[in-house]
Amino acid sequence: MRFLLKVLRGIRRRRGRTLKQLVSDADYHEIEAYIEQESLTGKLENTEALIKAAFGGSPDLVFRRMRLAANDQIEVLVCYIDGLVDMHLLAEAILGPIGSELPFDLPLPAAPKGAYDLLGQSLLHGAALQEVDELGDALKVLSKGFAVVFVEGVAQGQAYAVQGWVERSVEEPTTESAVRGPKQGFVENPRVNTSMLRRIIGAPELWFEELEIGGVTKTKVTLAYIKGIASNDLIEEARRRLQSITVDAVFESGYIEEYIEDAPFSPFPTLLRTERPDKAAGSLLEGRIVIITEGTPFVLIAPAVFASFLMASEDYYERSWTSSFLRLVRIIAMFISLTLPSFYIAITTFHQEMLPTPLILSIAAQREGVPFAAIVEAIFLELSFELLREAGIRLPKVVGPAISIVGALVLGEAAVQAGLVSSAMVIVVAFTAIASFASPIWSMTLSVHLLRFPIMILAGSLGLFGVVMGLSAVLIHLSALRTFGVPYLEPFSPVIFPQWKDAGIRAPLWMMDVRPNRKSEQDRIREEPEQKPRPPQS
Amino acid sequence: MIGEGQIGGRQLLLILFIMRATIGIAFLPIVTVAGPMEDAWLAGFGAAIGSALIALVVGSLSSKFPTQTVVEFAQELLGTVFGKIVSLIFLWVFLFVAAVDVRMYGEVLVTAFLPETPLFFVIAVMVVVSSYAAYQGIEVMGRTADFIFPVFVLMILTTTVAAVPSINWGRLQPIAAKGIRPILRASITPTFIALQVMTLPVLLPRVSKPEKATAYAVWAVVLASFLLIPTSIVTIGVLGADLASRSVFPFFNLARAVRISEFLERLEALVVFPWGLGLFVAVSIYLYCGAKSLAQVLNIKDYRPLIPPMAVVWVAMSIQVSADMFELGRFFLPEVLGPFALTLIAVPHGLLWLAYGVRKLKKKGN
Repeated sequence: MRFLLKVLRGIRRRRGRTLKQLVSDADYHEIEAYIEQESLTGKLENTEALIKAAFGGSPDLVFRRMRLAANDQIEVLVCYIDGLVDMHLLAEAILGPIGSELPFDLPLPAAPKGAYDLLGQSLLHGAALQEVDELGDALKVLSKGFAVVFVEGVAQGQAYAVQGWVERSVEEPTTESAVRGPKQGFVENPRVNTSMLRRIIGAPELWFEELEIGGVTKTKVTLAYIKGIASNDLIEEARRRLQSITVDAVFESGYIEEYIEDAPFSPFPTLLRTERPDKAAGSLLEGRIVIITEGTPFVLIAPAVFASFLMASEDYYERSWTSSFLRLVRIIAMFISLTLPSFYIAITTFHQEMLPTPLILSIAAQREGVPFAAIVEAIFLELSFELLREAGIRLPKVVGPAISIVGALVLGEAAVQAGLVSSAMVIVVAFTAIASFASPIWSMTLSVHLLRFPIMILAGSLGLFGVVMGLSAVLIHLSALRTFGVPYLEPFSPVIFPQWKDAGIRAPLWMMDVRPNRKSEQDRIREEPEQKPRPPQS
Repeated sequence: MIGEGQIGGRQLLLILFIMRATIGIAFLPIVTVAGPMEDAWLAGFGAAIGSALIALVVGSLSSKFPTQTVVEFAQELLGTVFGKIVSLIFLWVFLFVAAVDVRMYGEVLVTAFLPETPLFFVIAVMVVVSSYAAYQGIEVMGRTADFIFPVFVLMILTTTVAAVPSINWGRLQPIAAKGIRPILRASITPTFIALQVMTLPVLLPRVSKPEKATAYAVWAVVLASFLLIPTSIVTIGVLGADLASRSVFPFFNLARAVRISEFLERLEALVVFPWGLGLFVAVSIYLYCGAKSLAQVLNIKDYRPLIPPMAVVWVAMSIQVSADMFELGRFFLPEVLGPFALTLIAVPHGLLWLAYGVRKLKKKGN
């Protein structure tokens, strides 16, 4: 800090206060305003001091003052943030050429501007550079891992992309694993993610738009779509929603989701998230848009209709019959996980006559010693299951087995033997739990978990009638939901029969020759018709 | 939530079908109102024709004014004051029929499943859920009907088909032994239950092709009447004409009597579920139409704020509408319901048609 102040001593502010006073008063807005006034002057001393002031003399900020080896009249300042740049690349492609004879035989110009241009052509092997005219721009790119080069006497800087930091490599997606299909998932680096999409979709129609969201975090958010397949209205709407976000921080795509979703108070998610590039690419080809957020492997897909939460990308890789069957299983599983405990409560409390006599007798015998009503018992067990699940996620991995033993033994066995709960209820809750995890998208699983409780309470107070009323309310809510202008229950309601080929079932690929019509009439033909395989008749 | 959206013709058909079929099957008035009759199912044809006529009278007038609800065009035809008075008749029909519907369903539930639950509570839950739907607007209700319709029809047909093996065909004879008069009498009540069609003039401006709405409405009531035929055949065949006509909810008793196998018996739930869903569609449409037309009578732009207070009135009304189940049952006797419904349909529509005719003539005269 003292050194910094010593450097700053020479610089005077035009309107009275010195930068020194500013830095020690430490109000960043004033420093910012000051820096904005002080444009790049070409004086390296000045520039360095200002950058230092902006970063508060942070120790990871590195300045290298060098003289051009070919002409020691020319002074060069290289500035970067340690840890964000690839040191090998920096040494080889930036510091190296400056410090040694530049390998060409042009007469070395003495004028600083000539040297500046020459550096621009030769540093980083002549790869594209970003000109920096404002100090503010220089500060921004520094934080993104660029190295900025200034030349004494030139009121400009050159920013070189030499980023290199430790990051997770491309791995198998952990939340959406598939038996068959690509094994790579998105990572935190948005450039890697866009490259993965590009590798799948080889057409230039795949367009990316980059935005910076987050006043402090300055997170890169990329809007991806296929021009000509996605409707222009949808793209415009997505762009408008993204641009209207003004928030200081974006850490995960969940932040974006909360600012752009259609129904913020709905228990149902209206944006799909995935970490599978193949799924994102598939959505792009159906005319949807994909939003990639820097720093998270989860990308957002919009619009996301209800049916898409029951689809897994594997559905398209396995054969049509099995995929359709699995989708059916998932639909049933979702229904079970939403209503099974409620049905159990309703039937054992109000409609015993609906069960066959031997079964109701056996349930009654189990429930004999249980002091609670079925609804209390169910809520107790469901809550303890939610607890177990939550604990299972948060626990250090080494204690995991302990929890499962305690859960299985204490809740499964001992609670039944102690007569706190009936074993039939344990079976119901366990079955519900298994069913709830058959949903391929975690956010939908959570929504269903949440809705289960009010329906259980309705079942406990009004029986099957309560369940029907609860489900009706859910149905109205779903019918009223929209996601980016598309009705949430499409294609079931409003009924769009051609799309049923890829909703509840998955028709063979050669049958789906037209893209789903999401308000876009553009480029709807997916493939040539009549491609049903016809083996030669021998 | 600015626009209320639109419904397609199919959705209108489904809505009217569900509304009519729900009450038709709940009470199965064909079977109950005219005393023991082995051939009561024949009345289904009469009901189909009668209700189609009602739908025509109501729908064709309304489709002359494809952008206006009944409140608006009544004022245009009859002047502001008289138009509003006539609209009040429509409002009364919505209120009354919905109250009766809700009350009946509440009675079934309380009698059969929830003997210790107060009737008030059951009715209130139903009306609250329905007002949520009405609040979301007509488009949402139409889409909900899309979903409910297959469930509704599937469950009714399952029950009916499951009961076929238990039919004692001898119970269905003789056919038309006492001539045609008793059959006509039996078809009066199911015909006039088509009072539901009076919601059409409020829904019509919201239908995407208003000129076809009348046709859809006629189809809806006719199809729903035909649904009564197999259900009443099965009910009489299984329970016998005497028992069927004396039970309050014959179709419900039928479901109780059905036994497919050791594990599949007592299918009441299969009946109660679609009733609940269907009734919920019906009540939400009544609520919507009631609130919508009241808003127009009072010149209020948005109907939504009217829904909560109306829902409260609805609950109170359905409690007050009759003392008990049997009084409610007597209301459905042809001698009571016939004149009552006829008045409610004929008076406003007679006036409106008359005014319309006069206006047409005047125009021609000019």
